[in-house]
Amino acid sequence: MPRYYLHIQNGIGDVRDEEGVDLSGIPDARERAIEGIRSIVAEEARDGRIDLTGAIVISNATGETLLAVPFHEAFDLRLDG
Amino acid sequence: MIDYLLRKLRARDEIADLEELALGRLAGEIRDYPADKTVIQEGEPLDFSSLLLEGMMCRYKDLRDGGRQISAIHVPGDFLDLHSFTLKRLDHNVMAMTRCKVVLVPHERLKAMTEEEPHLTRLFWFSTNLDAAMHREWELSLGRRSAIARVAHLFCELQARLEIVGLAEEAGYDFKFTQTEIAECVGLTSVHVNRVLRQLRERRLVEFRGGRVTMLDRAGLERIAEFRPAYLYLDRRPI
Repeated sequence: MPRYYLHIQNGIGDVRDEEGVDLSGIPDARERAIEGIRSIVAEEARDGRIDLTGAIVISNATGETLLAVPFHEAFDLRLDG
Repeated sequence: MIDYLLRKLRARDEIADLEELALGRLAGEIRDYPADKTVIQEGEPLDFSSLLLEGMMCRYKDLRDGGRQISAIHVPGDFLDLHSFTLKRLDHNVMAMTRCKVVLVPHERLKAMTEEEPHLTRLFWFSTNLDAAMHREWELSLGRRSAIARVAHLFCELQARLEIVGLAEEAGYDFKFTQTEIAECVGLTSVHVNRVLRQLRERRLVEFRGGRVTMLDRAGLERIAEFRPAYLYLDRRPI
């Protein structure tokens, strides 16, 4: 299985993933990114703050960027009603 | 062979020379396992308990969707499953996280020990009580601690436990876990753990890199974790 690296980019700063994780493909890596975003935002929400301005950038072992998953893609957002 | 077990027990109570010999006689077959090997499956019948001699192991349970919760980490000197002596099977799996060496202790020999060595029997009882105390502390983490405090607490606990058996220095210890495995201990995702590790590093509290935990500010780390080592019962008193 290829190795993917999930780097976080948001207001707090970039967090490089130096370890990576072996996954079946990009859809699987995207799923991991979504779970990660939900986990981080849920924690921040406990302190009364939701910041969806960041993204998780997925790269392969050679450092090539494969996909960027914006934080807001991890949620079905409803702000009115 | 039972040096680490002796260090763990002697941190809590005196062990007489004859008792040390009795402990040595418990040892049966020795087994080596590669990393990532599940060595005991939930539900399998067991007529022996395993004492960890080298490496690190964990207890874990899985959900159908692939979610995994690691509920305990074992370091050398720990029994993986002293509770299987009375339970005869486990309600969880046990996995080698690194290359490991264990010695099997047949339940028959444990039974004989309970009949001949009341003090050692009480110490083994203490040992399963200690396991339960650690599970309670992990429950507190999973249910109530913030993400950063969960990871900080895990690092503090391992520092204290490895010090008892002489496998940690003041500066830190070897911890050959991946971020995903840490995430499985603390109920977070590996992405989230990665960010928490960065926060801990930026605050100059602890660094985790290349399979090594380096303490930068142990007191500060213990403060953020609300680490109170009383649950590890590190004081020596007659049991």
